[in-house]
Amino acid sequence: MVTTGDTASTTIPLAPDTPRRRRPLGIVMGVWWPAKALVDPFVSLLRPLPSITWIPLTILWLGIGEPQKTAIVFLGSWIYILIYTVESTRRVDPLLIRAARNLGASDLAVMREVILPGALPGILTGLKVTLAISWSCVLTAEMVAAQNGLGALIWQAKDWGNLALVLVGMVCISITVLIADRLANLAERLLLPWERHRRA
Amino acid sequence: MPEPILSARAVAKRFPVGRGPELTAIEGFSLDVREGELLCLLGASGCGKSTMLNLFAGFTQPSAGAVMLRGQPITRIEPRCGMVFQSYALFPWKTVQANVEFGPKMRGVGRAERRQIAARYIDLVKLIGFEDHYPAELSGGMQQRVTLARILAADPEVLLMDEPFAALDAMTRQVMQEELLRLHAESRKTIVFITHSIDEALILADRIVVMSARPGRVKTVLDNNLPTPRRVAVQLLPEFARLKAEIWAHVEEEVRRHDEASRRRGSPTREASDVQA
Ligand SMILES: Nc1ncnc2c1ncn2[C@@H]1O[C@H](COP(=O)(O)OP(=O)(O)O)[C@@H](O)[C@H]1O
Ligand SMILES: [Mg+2]
Repeated sequence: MVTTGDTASTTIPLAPDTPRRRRPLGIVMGVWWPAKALVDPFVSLLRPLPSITWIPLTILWLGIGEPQKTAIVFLGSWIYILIYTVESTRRVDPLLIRAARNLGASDLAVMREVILPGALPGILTGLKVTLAISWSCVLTAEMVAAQNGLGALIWQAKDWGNLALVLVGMVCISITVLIADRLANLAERLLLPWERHRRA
Repeated sequence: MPEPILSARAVAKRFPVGRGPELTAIEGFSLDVREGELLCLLGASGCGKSTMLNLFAGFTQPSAGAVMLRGQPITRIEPRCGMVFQSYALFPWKTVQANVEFGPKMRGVGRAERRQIAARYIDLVKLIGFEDHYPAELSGGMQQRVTLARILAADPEVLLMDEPFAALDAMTRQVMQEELLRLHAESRKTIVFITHSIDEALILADRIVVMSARPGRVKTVLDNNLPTPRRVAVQLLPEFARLKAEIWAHVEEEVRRHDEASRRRGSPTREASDVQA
């Protein structure tokens, strides 16, 4: 009892200070989070869901087959494309927008000539990330529930005890990813010629 | 006297600062800019030069008073007042050619004519051969030339230049100053040029407006009667030294006033001592 009283008396002088210091942060969090949640409720709600969690739902909706795989890829990836696009749009240098307006650009011209190319590198990065995510979505979907596809093949090969087929499947996946990566980089070089010089 | 092209009437600009009292950057600023002149706004950093230029460009609105272009209040971003930014603000995804073509393109000028206009100004700023380069591939001096060509191709009525050469090395700066004088002599465009260098003001300006320490007002206006065309040698003239001393006397007074004010506030700032003699 005595010790409790002691701790209480030592903590009380500190107590009034703590909330006073924390209040600004509390206000910001209190105002900001609901505001953000109201602005993009879908993003806040769907963002935490890993793509695998969509598998049961899509099977219930669409059964097993190609449409279900497409749905998995879409549901697992659109959110990343959206987030990358919104973020990179927000990061376009406001000075460049001001400069464009000063040179007589209309709203539409600012979108086309400044915001789109300014956000493009970020959007393409988002697409590359999405590509990797989509690929693992497909394979997961195929391994969990599918009759055909590379993922299904590897899964079945395991049941047959066919080690060679499992390995061949994995090498195929690896090569596909490498090729897809190369293609994405090529697209990036073609679409962002100015970035090439910046890196050099 | 003809009507001024740009004018400021008792302009004040205040900025909100956190929850404290507002910061008054400019107070009671009045000025008439004559058509065709090259006017230098001279003052220590922090005295409100950029703020004033942003008001002329319509990037911000005055808290009191009025800013006018040919007698009409400037109420939004004004393409007739072309801004040359200190940090260039070139579009990194556009080549030199496309950057220079931007203004004409926005005006709806056709492709062929656009190319011609761009070619003329790229020639004027001596960047022939660099048309297909991206800004990131060019040196600072070359990038500043591109901004100059870009704004000239957009053909505004007034050029607003915010310490455009401050980031350049001394030699490049000198070359750029001479080029600006040549461009001004050829085009007779009205130019409002901001600097914190007395030498630069004396080399470039037809008239020099010395600004007070914050809040910025017009402290004094001097006619610059140094002979033209002005080359480096102009700095050796006795008249140059006399004008420089006269301007420095005005500036020094402001620096002292500012220092005393800061000391009284107990927050010494070094801003006002930044004017280069
Ligand atoms: N957007 C802004 N918000 C708050 N204060 C500002 C803003 N812009 C300028 N100021 C303040 O106004 C004063 C004048 O700034 P500025 O016009 O940039 O000076 P200069 O260009 O002469 O160096 C400075 O004290 C600066 O901190
Ligand atoms: Mg400034």
